[in-house]
Amino acid sequence: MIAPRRRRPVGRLAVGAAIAAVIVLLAMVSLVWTPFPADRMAISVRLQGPSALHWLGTDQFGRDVLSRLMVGARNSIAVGLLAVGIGLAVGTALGTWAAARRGWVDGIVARLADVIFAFPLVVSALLASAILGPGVVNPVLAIGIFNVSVFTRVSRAAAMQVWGLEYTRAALAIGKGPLRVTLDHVLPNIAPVLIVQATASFAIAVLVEAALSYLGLSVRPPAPSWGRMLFDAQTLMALAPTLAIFPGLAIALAVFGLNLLGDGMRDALDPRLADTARREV
Amino acid sequence: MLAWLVRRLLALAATLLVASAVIFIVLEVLPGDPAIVMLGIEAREDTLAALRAELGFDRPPLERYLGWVAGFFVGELGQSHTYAVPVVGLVTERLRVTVPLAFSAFALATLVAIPLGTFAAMRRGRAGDWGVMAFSQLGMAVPNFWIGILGILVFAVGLGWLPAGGFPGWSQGAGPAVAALVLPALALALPEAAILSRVTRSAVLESLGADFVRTARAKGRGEGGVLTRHVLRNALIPMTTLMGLQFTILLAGSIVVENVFSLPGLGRLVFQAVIQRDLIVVRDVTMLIVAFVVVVNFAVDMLYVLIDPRPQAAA
Repeated sequence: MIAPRRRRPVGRLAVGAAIAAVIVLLAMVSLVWTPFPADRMAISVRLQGPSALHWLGTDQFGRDVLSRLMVGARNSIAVGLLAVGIGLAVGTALGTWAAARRGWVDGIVARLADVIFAFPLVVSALLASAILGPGVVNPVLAIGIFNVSVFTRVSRAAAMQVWGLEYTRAALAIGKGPLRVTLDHVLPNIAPVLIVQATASFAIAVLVEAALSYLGLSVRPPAPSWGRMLFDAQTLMALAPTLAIFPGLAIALAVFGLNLLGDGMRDALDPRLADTARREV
Repeated sequence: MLAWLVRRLLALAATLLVASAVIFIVLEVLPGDPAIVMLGIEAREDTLAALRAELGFDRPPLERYLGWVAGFFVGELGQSHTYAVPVVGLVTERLRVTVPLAFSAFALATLVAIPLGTFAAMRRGRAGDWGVMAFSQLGMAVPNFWIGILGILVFAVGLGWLPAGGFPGWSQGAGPAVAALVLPALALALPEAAILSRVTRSAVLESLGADFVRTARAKGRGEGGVLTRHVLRNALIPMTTLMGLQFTILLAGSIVVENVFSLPGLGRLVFQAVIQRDLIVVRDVTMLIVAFVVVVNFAVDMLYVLIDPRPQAAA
Protein backbone atom coordinates (compact mmCIF):
# COMPACT_ATOMS: atom_id res chain seq x y z
CA MET A 1 0.00 0.00 0.00
CA ILE A 2 2.67 2.45 1.01
CA ALA A 3 5.06 1.90 -1.89
CA PRO A 4 2.96 3.42 -4.71
CA ARG A 5 2.16 6.48 -2.60
CA ARG A 6 5.82 7.15 -1.96
CA ARG A 7 6.90 6.77 -5.55
CA ARG A 8 5.48 9.97 -6.99
CA PRO A 9 7.16 12.35 -4.53
CA VAL A 10 10.51 10.69 -5.14
CA GLY A 11 9.89 11.06 -8.89
CA ARG A 12 9.19 14.75 -8.49
CA LEU A 13 12.24 15.16 -6.32
CA ALA A 14 14.46 13.43 -8.88
CA VAL A 15 13.08 15.32 -11.88
CA GLY A 16 13.25 18.66 -10.06
CA ALA A 17 16.77 18.02 -8.83
CA ALA A 18 17.87 16.95 -12.32
CA ILE A 19 16.48 20.11 -13.96
CA ALA A 20 18.03 22.34 -11.31
CA ALA A 21 21.34 20.49 -11.60
CA VAL A 22 21.45 20.91 -15.39
CA ILE A 23 20.84 24.65 -15.10
CA VAL A 24 23.46 25.08 -12.37
CA LEU A 25 25.88 23.00 -14.43
CA LEU A 26 25.31 25.13 -17.55
CA ALA A 27 25.86 28.27 -15.49
CA MET A 28 29.09 26.88 -14.09
CA VAL A 29 30.32 25.71 -17.48
CA SER A 30 29.68 29.23 -18.79
CA LEU A 31 32.38 30.48 -16.42
CA VAL A 32 35.00 28.70 -18.51
CA TRP A 33 33.31 27.94 -21.81
CA THR A 34 30.37 29.07 -23.92
CA PRO A 35 29.76 28.15 -27.59
CA PHE A 36 30.59 31.77 -28.48
CA PRO A 37 31.69 34.70 -26.33
CA ALA A 38 28.36 35.93 -24.91
CA ASP A 39 28.97 39.57 -25.81
CA ARG A 40 30.57 39.07 -29.24
CA MET A 41 28.59 40.90 -31.87
CA ALA A 42 28.52 39.74 -35.48
CA ILE A 43 26.13 41.86 -37.49
CA SER A 44 26.49 39.59 -40.53
CA VAL A 45 24.76 36.74 -38.69
CA ARG A 46 22.14 38.78 -36.83
CA LEU A 47 18.62 37.47 -36.15
CA GLN A 48 19.29 33.96 -37.36
CA GLY A 49 17.07 31.09 -36.39
CA PRO A 50 18.43 27.95 -34.73
CA SER A 51 21.15 26.27 -36.81
CA ALA A 52 23.96 23.74 -36.42
CA LEU A 53 26.35 26.57 -35.61
CA HIS A 54 24.09 28.67 -33.39
CA TRP A 55 21.87 26.08 -31.71
CA LEU A 56 19.32 28.60 -30.46
CA GLY A 57 19.99 31.27 -33.10
CA THR A 58 21.38 34.79 -32.77
CA ASP A 59 19.97 38.10 -31.54
CA GLN A 60 19.74 41.55 -33.13
CA PHE A 61 23.50 42.06 -32.75
CA GLY A 62 24.40 38.58 -33.97
CA ARG A 63 25.20 37.40 -30.45
CA ASP A 64 24.76 33.68 -29.76
CA VAL A 65 21.50 33.11 -27.83
CA LEU A 66 22.62 29.87 -26.15
CA SER A 67 25.80 31.50 -24.85
CA ARG A 68 23.81 34.42 -23.48
CA LEU A 69 21.28 32.10 -21.85
CA MET A 70 24.12 30.20 -20.16
CA VAL A 71 25.69 33.37 -18.81
CA GLY A 72 22.25 34.74 -17.89
CA ALA A 73 21.66 31.65 -15.74
CA ARG A 74 24.51 32.80 -13.49
CA ASN A 75 22.67 36.01 -12.87
CA SER A 76 19.41 34.26 -11.92
CA ILE A 77 21.22 31.80 -9.66
CA ALA A 78 23.30 34.50 -7.96
CA VAL A 79 20.26 36.67 -7.24
CA GLY A 80 18.35 33.62 -5.98
CA LEU A 81 21.17 32.49 -3.69
CA LEU A 82 21.78 35.95 -2.23
CA ALA A 83 18.10 36.82 -1.79
CA VAL A 84 17.25 33.47 -0.19
CA GLY A 85 20.44 33.61 1.90
CA ILE A 86 19.51 37.02 3.33
CA GLY A 87 15.98 35.88 4.09
CA LEU A 88 17.08 32.59 5.58
CA ALA A 89 19.76 34.10 7.82
CA VAL A 90 17.95 37.19 9.08
CA GLY A 91 14.42 35.76 9.01
CA THR A 92 15.31 32.56 10.85
CA ALA A 93 17.24 34.52 13.48
CA LEU A 94 14.28 36.84 14.05
CA GLY A 95 11.66 34.09 13.94
CA THR A 96 13.43 31.76 16.35
CA TRP A 97 14.25 34.71 18.64
CA ALA A 98 10.58 35.72 18.71
CA ALA A 99 9.54 32.14 19.45
CA ALA A 100 12.07 31.80 22.24
CA ARG A 101 11.37 35.14 23.92
CA ARG A 102 7.64 35.65 23.21
CA GLY A 103 6.20 38.80 24.81
CA TRP A 104 7.21 42.18 23.38
CA VAL A 105 10.01 40.73 21.22
CA ASP A 106 7.46 38.51 19.53
CA GLY A 107 5.09 41.43 19.09
CA ILE A 108 7.71 43.63 17.45
CA VAL A 109 9.01 40.88 15.18
CA ALA A 110 5.48 40.03 14.08
CA ARG A 111 4.74 43.71 13.28
CA LEU A 112 8.02 43.99 11.38
CA ALA A 113 7.11 40.97 9.27
CA ASP A 114 3.66 42.52 8.68
CA VAL A 115 5.18 45.77 7.44
CA ILE A 116 7.60 44.04 5.06
CA PHE A 117 4.77 41.85 3.84
CA ALA A 118 2.77 44.94 2.93
CA PHE A 119 5.29 45.79 0.22
CA PRO A 120 4.75 43.70 -2.91
CA LEU A 121 8.08 42.50 -4.30
CA VAL A 122 7.98 44.57 -7.47
CA VAL A 123 7.08 47.65 -5.46
CA SER A 124 10.08 47.34 -3.13
CA ALA A 125 12.31 46.75 -6.14
CA LEU A 126 10.91 49.92 -7.71
CA LEU A 127 11.61 51.83 -4.49
CA ALA A 128 15.20 50.57 -4.46
CA SER A 129 15.65 51.46 -8.14
CA ALA A 130 14.19 54.92 -7.59
CA ILE A 131 17.16 55.90 -5.45
CA LEU A 132 19.85 53.48 -6.59
CA GLY A 133 19.17 53.39 -10.33
CA PRO A 134 19.17 50.09 -12.23
CA GLY A 135 21.49 47.36 -10.97
CA VAL A 136 21.52 43.80 -9.73
CA VAL A 137 21.46 45.05 -6.13
CA ASN A 138 17.77 46.01 -6.55
CA PRO A 139 16.37 42.49 -6.93
CA VAL A 140 18.74 41.17 -4.27
CA LEU A 141 17.62 43.84 -1.79
CA ALA A 142 13.93 43.68 -2.64
CA ILE A 143 13.61 39.89 -2.72
CA GLY A 144 16.01 39.50 0.22
CA ILE A 145 14.03 41.84 2.47
CA PHE A 146 10.76 40.24 1.42
CA ASN A 147 12.24 36.83 2.22
CA VAL A 148 13.14 38.07 5.69
CA SER A 149 9.44 38.37 6.41
CA VAL A 150 8.67 34.98 4.79
CA PHE A 151 11.35 33.15 6.80
CA THR A 152 10.48 35.06 9.98
CA ARG A 153 6.90 33.84 9.77
CA VAL A 154 7.75 30.29 8.76
CA SER A 155 10.52 29.82 11.33
CA ARG A 156 8.53 31.52 14.10
CA ALA A 157 5.50 29.28 13.59
CA ALA A 158 7.63 26.13 13.35
CA ALA A 159 9.79 27.11 16.33
CA MET A 160 6.69 27.82 18.45
CA GLN A 161 5.58 24.25 17.82
CA VAL A 162 8.94 22.87 18.89
CA TRP A 163 8.91 25.07 22.02
CA GLY A 164 5.59 23.48 22.91
CA LEU A 165 7.14 20.01 23.04
CA GLU A 166 8.33 18.35 26.18
CA TYR A 167 11.98 17.92 25.29
CA THR A 168 12.56 21.66 24.93
CA ARG A 169 11.09 22.19 28.37
CA ALA A 170 13.27 19.34 29.64
CA ALA A 171 16.30 21.04 28.09
CA LEU A 172 15.42 24.27 29.87
CA ALA A 173 14.94 22.35 33.10
CA ILE A 174 18.44 20.91 32.97
CA GLY A 175 19.77 24.44 32.77
CA LYS A 176 20.23 25.16 29.05
CA GLY A 177 19.55 28.77 28.10
CA PRO A 178 17.03 29.76 25.40
CA LEU A 179 19.83 30.31 22.86
CA ARG A 180 21.34 26.88 23.55
CA VAL A 181 17.92 25.21 23.26
CA THR A 182 17.29 27.08 20.00
CA LEU A 183 20.61 25.95 18.55
CA ASP A 184 20.51 22.38 19.86
CA HIS A 185 16.84 21.50 19.54
CA VAL A 186 14.73 24.08 17.73
CA LEU A 187 16.89 24.70 14.66
CA PRO A 188 17.54 21.04 13.80
CA ASN A 189 13.82 20.37 14.10
CA ILE A 190 12.66 23.23 11.93
CA ALA A 191 15.41 22.72 9.33
CA PRO A 192 13.22 20.62 6.99
CA VAL A 193 10.57 23.34 6.89
CA LEU A 194 13.24 25.94 6.18
CA ILE A 195 14.81 23.88 3.40
CA VAL A 196 11.46 23.43 1.68
CA GLN A 197 10.68 27.13 2.01
CA ALA A 198 14.13 28.05 0.71
CA THR A 199 13.53 26.03 -2.46
CA ALA A 200 10.12 27.63 -3.02
CA SER A 201 11.58 31.08 -2.35
CA PHE A 202 14.41 30.40 -4.80
CA ALA A 203 11.86 29.70 -7.52
CA ILE A 204 10.07 32.94 -6.73
CA ALA A 205 13.37 34.82 -6.75
CA VAL A 206 14.12 33.54 -10.27
CA LEU A 207 10.67 34.66 -11.46
CA VAL A 208 10.87 38.09 -9.84
CA GLU A 209 14.43 38.71 -11.00
CA ALA A 210 13.31 37.90 -14.53
CA ALA A 211 10.44 40.36 -14.23
CA LEU A 212 12.73 43.07 -12.87
CA SER A 213 15.35 42.55 -15.53
CA TYR A 214 12.55 42.62 -18.11
CA LEU A 215 11.69 46.07 -16.74
CA GLY A 216 15.36 47.06 -16.94
CA LEU A 217 15.74 47.44 -13.17
CA SER A 218 18.19 44.57 -12.65
CA VAL A 219 21.59 43.91 -14.27
CA ARG A 220 22.68 46.53 -16.75
CA PRO A 221 23.23 45.67 -20.39
CA PRO A 222 25.25 44.29 -22.09
CA ALA A 223 25.39 41.70 -19.26
CA PRO A 224 22.86 39.07 -20.33
CA SER A 225 19.82 38.29 -18.24
CA TRP A 226 16.84 36.13 -19.15
CA GLY A 227 14.27 38.82 -18.50
CA ARG A 228 16.11 41.48 -20.50
CA MET A 229 16.51 39.08 -23.43
CA LEU A 230 12.71 38.80 -23.54
CA PHE A 231 12.40 42.59 -23.47
CA ASP A 232 14.78 42.92 -26.42
CA ALA A 233 12.96 40.14 -28.26
CA GLN A 234 9.60 41.86 -27.93
CA THR A 235 10.42 44.57 -30.47
CA LEU A 236 11.73 41.98 -32.94
CA MET A 237 8.91 39.48 -32.72
CA ALA A 238 7.76 39.80 -36.30
CA LEU A 239 11.34 39.26 -37.55
CA ALA A 240 12.67 36.67 -35.13
CA PRO A 241 9.94 35.00 -33.06
CA THR A 242 12.32 32.39 -31.59
CA LEU A 243 14.11 35.13 -29.66
CA ALA A 244 10.95 35.50 -27.56
CA ILE A 245 10.72 31.74 -26.96
CA PHE A 246 14.03 30.46 -25.57
CA PRO A 247 14.64 32.90 -22.67
CA GLY A 248 11.04 32.37 -21.52
CA LEU A 249 11.52 28.60 -21.73
CA ALA A 250 14.69 28.92 -19.66
CA ILE A 251 12.87 30.85 -16.92
CA ALA A 252 9.89 28.48 -16.95
CA LEU A 253 12.12 25.40 -16.90
CA ALA A 254 14.18 26.71 -13.99
CA VAL A 255 11.09 27.61 -11.96
CA PHE A 256 9.37 24.35 -12.88
CA GLY A 257 12.40 22.37 -11.74
CA LEU A 258 12.74 24.29 -8.48
CA ASN A 259 9.00 23.92 -7.76
CA LEU A 260 9.18 20.17 -8.35
CA LEU A 261 12.27 19.97 -6.18
CA GLY A 262 10.51 21.91 -3.41
CA ASP A 263 7.39 19.71 -3.63
CA GLY A 264 9.46 16.56 -3.64
CA MET A 265 11.48 17.69 -0.65
CA ARG A 266 8.36 18.72 1.21
CA ASP A 267 6.83 15.30 0.67
CA ALA A 268 10.07 13.62 1.69
CA LEU A 269 10.93 15.83 4.66
CA ASP A 270 7.66 17.14 6.02
CA PRO A 271 4.46 15.67 4.63
CA ARG A 272 2.34 17.75 7.00
CA LEU A 273 3.12 21.03 5.26
CA ALA A 274 0.13 22.10 3.24
CA ASP A 275 0.19 23.56 -0.25
CA THR A 276 -0.86 26.92 1.14
CA ALA A 277 2.56 27.45 2.70
CA ARG A 278 4.22 27.22 -0.65
CA ARG A 279 4.05 30.48 -2.47
CA GLU A 280 3.78 33.85 -0.86
CA VAL A 281 4.79 36.57 -3.27
CA MET B 1 -15.22 40.24 19.42
CA LEU B 2 -15.11 44.01 19.75
CA ALA B 3 -11.76 43.94 21.54
CA TRP B 4 -10.41 41.71 18.78
CA LEU B 5 -11.64 44.12 16.11
CA VAL B 6 -10.08 47.09 17.89
CA ARG B 7 -6.79 45.23 18.21
CA ARG B 8 -6.82 44.40 14.52
CA LEU B 9 -7.62 47.99 13.59
CA LEU B 10 -4.77 49.26 15.76
CA ALA B 11 -2.39 46.80 14.12
CA LEU B 12 -3.62 47.99 10.72
CA ALA B 13 -2.97 51.63 11.63
CA ALA B 14 0.46 50.79 13.03
CA THR B 15 1.44 48.86 9.89
CA LEU B 16 0.33 51.75 7.67
CA LEU B 17 2.20 54.26 9.78
CA VAL B 18 5.44 52.30 9.77
CA ALA B 19 5.12 51.54 6.05
CA SER B 20 4.60 55.22 5.25
CA ALA B 21 7.66 56.11 7.35
CA VAL B 22 9.70 53.47 5.47
CA ILE B 23 8.65 54.86 2.09
CA PHE B 24 9.37 58.41 3.17
CA ILE B 25 12.77 57.57 4.63
CA VAL B 26 13.83 55.50 1.61
CA LEU B 27 12.84 58.15 -0.91
CA GLU B 28 13.43 61.44 0.85
CA VAL B 29 15.89 60.92 3.72
CA LEU B 30 18.32 58.12 2.74
CA PRO B 31 19.36 59.67 -0.60
CA GLY B 32 20.51 62.82 1.23
CA ASP B 33 19.15 65.38 -1.18
CA PRO B 34 16.06 64.24 -3.08
CA ALA B 35 16.47 67.14 -5.47
CA ILE B 36 19.78 65.66 -6.68
CA VAL B 37 18.10 62.28 -7.16
CA MET B 38 15.44 63.91 -9.32
CA LEU B 39 17.68 66.17 -11.39
CA GLY B 40 20.96 64.25 -11.42
CA ILE B 41 24.38 65.13 -10.03
CA GLU B 42 25.19 67.43 -12.95
CA ALA B 43 22.29 69.76 -12.13
CA ARG B 44 23.14 73.39 -11.42
CA GLU B 45 22.83 74.68 -7.87
CA ASP B 46 20.17 77.28 -8.72
CA THR B 47 18.02 74.66 -10.50
CA LEU B 48 18.35 72.38 -7.49
CA ALA B 49 17.42 75.21 -5.13
CA ALA B 50 14.38 76.03 -7.26
CA LEU B 51 13.20 72.40 -7.16
CA ARG B 52 13.80 72.19 -3.41
CA ALA B 53 11.66 75.27 -2.93
CA GLU B 54 8.99 74.02 -5.35
CA LEU B 55 8.61 70.62 -3.71
CA GLY B 56 9.30 71.78 -0.17
CA PHE B 57 12.51 69.77 0.18
CA ASP B 58 14.00 72.73 2.04
CA ARG B 59 11.70 72.06 5.00
CA PRO B 60 12.79 69.66 7.77
CA PRO B 61 12.04 65.97 6.99
CA LEU B 62 9.68 65.45 9.95
CA GLU B 63 7.56 68.43 8.93
CA ARG B 64 7.42 67.12 5.34
CA TYR B 65 6.50 63.65 6.51
CA LEU B 66 3.66 64.88 8.71
CA GLY B 67 2.41 67.13 5.93
CA TRP B 68 2.43 64.22 3.50
CA VAL B 69 0.52 61.88 5.86
CA ALA B 70 -1.99 64.63 6.67
CA GLY B 71 -2.51 65.14 2.94
CA PHE B 72 -3.55 61.51 2.58
CA PHE B 73 -6.43 62.03 5.01
CA VAL B 74 -7.87 64.88 2.99
CA GLY B 75 -7.22 63.24 -0.38
CA GLU B 76 -4.48 65.70 -1.25
CA LEU B 77 -1.34 64.08 -2.59
CA GLY B 78 1.69 65.75 -4.07
CA GLN B 79 2.25 67.32 -7.45
CA SER B 80 3.95 65.29 -10.18
CA HIS B 81 7.19 66.91 -11.26
CA THR B 82 7.16 65.33 -14.75
CA TYR B 83 3.52 65.94 -15.60
CA ALA B 84 3.10 69.11 -13.53
CA VAL B 85 -0.35 67.95 -12.40
CA PRO B 86 -1.63 66.70 -9.03
CA VAL B 87 -0.89 63.03 -8.38
CA VAL B 88 -4.54 62.44 -7.37
CA GLY B 89 -5.70 63.22 -10.91
CA LEU B 90 -3.04 60.99 -12.46
CA VAL B 91 -3.96 58.11 -10.17
CA THR B 92 -7.72 58.28 -10.77
CA GLU B 93 -7.12 58.38 -14.51
CA ARG B 94 -4.79 55.36 -14.39
CA LEU B 95 -7.13 53.37 -12.16
CA ARG B 96 -9.57 53.21 -15.06
CA VAL B 97 -7.16 50.77 -16.66
CA THR B 98 -5.70 48.97 -13.66
CA VAL B 99 -8.94 48.29 -11.77
CA PRO B 100 -10.76 46.59 -14.70
CA LEU B 101 -7.55 44.72 -15.54
CA ALA B 102 -6.98 43.42 -12.01
CA PHE B 103 -10.65 42.57 -11.46
CA SER B 104 -11.06 40.70 -14.73
CA ALA B 105 -7.83 38.77 -14.12
CA PHE B 106 -9.01 37.94 -10.60
CA ALA B 107 -12.43 36.83 -11.83
CA LEU B 108 -10.88 34.79 -14.61
CA ALA B 109 -8.42 33.07 -12.28
CA THR B 110 -11.14 32.27 -9.74
CA LEU B 111 -13.67 31.04 -12.31
CA VAL B 112 -11.11 28.71 -13.85
CA ALA B 113 -9.35 27.56 -10.70
CA ILE B 114 -12.17 26.66 -8.31
CA PRO B 115 -13.98 24.27 -10.68
CA LEU B 116 -10.65 22.81 -11.85
CA GLY B 117 -9.34 22.31 -8.33
CA THR B 118 -12.62 20.79 -7.12
CA PHE B 119 -12.76 18.52 -10.17
CA ALA B 120 -9.19 17.36 -9.54
CA ALA B 121 -9.93 16.62 -5.89
CA MET B 122 -13.05 14.59 -6.78
CA ARG B 123 -10.99 12.58 -9.28
CA ARG B 124 -7.97 12.17 -7.06
CA GLY B 125 -5.29 9.98 -8.65
CA ARG B 126 -7.13 9.65 -11.96
CA ALA B 127 -6.37 11.18 -15.35
CA GLY B 128 -8.42 14.33 -14.68
CA ASP B 129 -6.46 15.01 -11.50
CA TRP B 130 -3.17 14.49 -13.30
CA GLY B 131 -4.21 16.86 -16.05
CA VAL B 132 -5.16 19.61 -13.63
CA MET B 133 -1.99 19.15 -11.61
CA ALA B 134 0.13 19.28 -14.75
CA PHE B 135 -1.61 22.51 -15.79
CA SER B 136 -1.00 23.86 -12.32
CA GLN B 137 2.72 22.95 -12.27
CA LEU B 138 3.25 24.50 -15.70
CA GLY B 139 1.18 27.59 -14.95
CA MET B 140 3.13 28.30 -11.78
CA ALA B 141 6.43 28.13 -13.63
CA VAL B 142 5.58 30.47 -16.49
CA PRO B 143 6.19 34.17 -15.81
CA ASN B 144 3.15 36.35 -16.50
CA PHE B 145 5.06 38.74 -18.73
CA TRP B 146 6.20 35.85 -20.94
CA ILE B 147 2.59 34.68 -21.33
CA GLY B 148 1.87 38.25 -22.39
CA ILE B 149 4.68 38.22 -24.95
CA LEU B 150 3.59 34.82 -26.31
CA GLY B 151 0.01 36.10 -26.47
CA ILE B 152 1.16 39.06 -28.53
CA LEU B 153 3.20 36.73 -30.75
CA VAL B 154 0.24 34.45 -31.48
CA PHE B 155 -2.88 36.62 -31.28
CA ALA B 156 -1.53 40.00 -32.38
CA VAL B 157 1.49 39.39 -34.64
CA GLY B 158 0.38 35.98 -35.96
CA LEU B 159 -3.41 35.97 -36.15
CA GLY B 160 -4.07 39.68 -35.86
CA TRP B 161 -7.15 39.10 -33.66
CA LEU B 162 -6.16 41.33 -30.77
CA PRO B 163 -4.08 44.50 -30.38
CA ALA B 164 -0.40 44.02 -29.45
CA GLY B 165 -0.56 46.80 -26.88
CA GLY B 166 -1.72 50.30 -26.07
CA PHE B 167 -5.09 51.39 -24.78
CA PRO B 168 -7.67 53.35 -26.77
CA GLY B 169 -9.49 54.63 -23.66
CA TRP B 170 -13.11 54.03 -22.67
CA SER B 171 -14.43 57.00 -24.61
CA GLN B 172 -14.18 55.06 -27.89
CA GLY B 173 -16.72 52.56 -26.60
CA ALA B 174 -16.17 49.43 -24.56
CA GLY B 175 -15.25 47.13 -27.46
CA PRO B 176 -11.72 48.33 -28.30
CA ALA B 177 -10.92 48.93 -24.63
CA VAL B 178 -11.99 45.41 -23.66
CA ALA B 179 -10.06 43.96 -26.61
CA ALA B 180 -6.95 45.76 -25.36
CA LEU B 181 -7.37 44.19 -21.92
CA VAL B 182 -7.98 40.56 -23.00
CA LEU B 183 -4.36 39.47 -23.40
CA PRO B 184 -3.08 41.36 -20.33
CA ALA B 185 -5.85 39.88 -18.16
CA LEU B 186 -5.08 36.38 -19.45
CA ALA B 187 -1.37 36.86 -18.80
CA LEU B 188 -2.06 37.95 -15.24
CA ALA B 189 -4.72 35.33 -14.58
CA LEU B 190 -3.04 32.16 -15.79
CA PRO B 191 -0.28 31.81 -13.17
CA GLU B 192 -2.72 32.77 -10.42
CA ALA B 193 -5.28 30.24 -11.66
CA ALA B 194 -2.55 27.60 -11.54
CA ILE B 195 -1.78 28.29 -7.88
CA LEU B 196 -5.40 28.70 -6.85
CA SER B 197 -6.47 25.44 -8.51
CA ARG B 198 -3.76 23.63 -6.61
CA VAL B 199 -4.74 25.13 -3.28
CA THR B 200 -8.43 24.48 -4.02
CA ARG B 201 -7.61 20.86 -4.76
CA SER B 202 -5.78 20.30 -1.50
CA ALA B 203 -8.38 22.24 0.52
CA VAL B 204 -11.22 20.22 -1.00
CA LEU B 205 -9.30 16.98 -0.47
CA GLU B 206 -8.83 17.85 3.18
CA SER B 207 -12.52 18.67 3.58
CA LEU B 208 -13.59 15.52 1.75
CA GLY B 209 -11.78 13.38 4.29
CA ALA B 210 -13.32 15.15 7.29
CA ASP B 211 -15.77 13.52 9.67
CA PHE B 212 -18.51 16.05 9.00
CA VAL B 213 -18.58 15.00 5.36
CA ARG B 214 -19.05 11.37 6.35
CA THR B 215 -21.79 12.44 8.73
CA ALA B 216 -23.54 14.49 6.06
CA ARG B 217 -23.41 11.54 3.67
CA ALA B 218 -24.62 9.19 6.38
CA LYS B 219 -27.55 11.49 6.97
CA GLY B 220 -28.47 10.97 3.34
CA ARG B 221 -27.48 14.30 1.85
CA GLY B 222 -26.86 14.11 -1.90
CA GLU B 223 -23.34 14.52 -3.30
CA GLY B 224 -24.14 17.99 -4.66
CA GLY B 225 -25.31 19.20 -1.28
CA VAL B 226 -22.31 17.65 0.46
CA LEU B 227 -20.00 19.39 -1.97
CA THR B 228 -21.49 22.88 -1.77
CA ARG B 229 -22.74 23.04 1.81
CA HIS B 230 -19.96 21.15 3.56
CA VAL B 231 -16.87 20.54 1.46
CA LEU B 232 -16.53 23.86 -0.38
CA ARG B 233 -17.66 25.93 2.58
CA ASN B 234 -14.86 24.52 4.71
CA ALA B 235 -12.35 24.58 1.86
CA LEU B 236 -13.07 28.30 1.51
CA ILE B 237 -10.97 29.10 4.56
CA PRO B 238 -7.52 28.39 3.06
CA MET B 239 -8.77 29.56 -0.33
CA THR B 240 -9.77 32.99 1.02
CA THR B 241 -6.29 33.60 2.40
CA LEU B 242 -4.78 32.86 -0.96
CA MET B 243 -7.36 34.84 -2.92
CA GLY B 244 -6.78 37.89 -0.75
CA LEU B 245 -3.08 37.49 -1.31
CA GLN B 246 -3.63 36.99 -5.01
CA PHE B 247 -5.58 40.17 -5.44
CA THR B 248 -2.61 42.11 -4.16
CA ILE B 249 -0.25 40.02 -6.30
CA LEU B 250 -2.35 40.90 -9.34
CA LEU B 251 -2.07 44.58 -8.55
CA ALA B 252 1.70 44.30 -8.22
CA GLY B 253 1.87 41.97 -11.23
CA SER B 254 0.08 44.57 -13.29
CA ILE B 255 3.19 46.76 -12.93
CA VAL B 256 5.03 44.28 -15.14
CA VAL B 257 2.17 43.29 -17.44
CA GLU B 258 1.05 46.87 -18.07
CA ASN B 259 4.56 47.52 -19.29
CA VAL B 260 4.47 44.52 -21.63
CA PHE B 261 1.34 45.92 -23.25
CA SER B 262 2.12 49.65 -22.80
CA LEU B 263 -1.15 50.06 -20.89
CA PRO B 264 -1.51 53.47 -19.19
CA GLY B 265 -2.34 52.01 -15.77
CA LEU B 266 -1.14 52.59 -12.24
CA GLY B 267 1.75 50.13 -12.66
CA ARG B 268 3.08 51.88 -15.72
CA LEU B 269 2.67 55.23 -13.98
CA VAL B 270 4.84 54.21 -11.05
CA PHE B 271 7.37 52.46 -13.29
CA GLN B 272 7.77 55.50 -15.51
CA ALA B 273 7.98 57.71 -12.45
CA VAL B 274 10.93 55.60 -11.28
CA ILE B 275 12.63 55.94 -14.66
CA GLN B 276 11.95 59.69 -14.73
CA ARG B 277 12.96 60.05 -11.07
CA ASP B 278 9.63 61.65 -10.25
CA LEU B 279 9.96 60.87 -6.54
CA ILE B 280 6.67 62.47 -5.59
CA VAL B 281 4.70 60.12 -7.85
CA VAL B 282 6.79 57.12 -6.72
CA ARG B 283 6.16 58.02 -3.07
CA ASP B 284 2.41 58.55 -3.40
CA VAL B 285 1.65 55.61 -5.68
CA THR B 286 3.75 53.14 -3.66
CA MET B 287 1.94 54.29 -0.52
CA LEU B 288 -1.42 53.75 -2.22
CA ILE B 289 -0.41 50.26 -3.32
CA VAL B 290 0.91 49.37 0.14
CA ALA B 291 -2.23 50.76 1.79
CA PHE B 292 -4.33 48.68 -0.57
CA VAL B 293 -2.39 45.52 0.31
CA VAL B 294 -2.75 46.16 4.04
CA VAL B 295 -6.47 46.88 3.77
CA VAL B 296 -7.11 43.78 1.64
CA ASN B 297 -5.28 41.63 4.19
CA PHE B 298 -7.43 43.16 6.89
CA ALA B 299 -10.57 42.49 4.86
CA VAL B 300 -9.49 38.87 4.46
CA ASP B 301 -9.22 38.57 8.24
CA MET B 302 -12.73 39.98 8.53
CA LEU B 303 -14.00 37.55 5.92
CA TYR B 304 -12.68 34.66 7.99
CA VAL B 305 -15.04 35.60 10.75
CA LEU B 306 -17.95 35.41 8.34
CA ILE B 307 -16.88 32.11 6.83
CA ASP B 308 -15.65 30.49 9.99
CA PRO B 309 -16.11 32.03 13.42
CA ARG B 310 -13.47 29.77 14.97
CA PRO B 311 -10.14 31.58 14.30
CA GLN B 312 -10.99 34.76 16.22
CA ALA B 313 -10.92 32.86 19.51
CA ALA B 314 -7.43 31.67 18.71
CA ALA B 315 -6.37 35.14 17.56
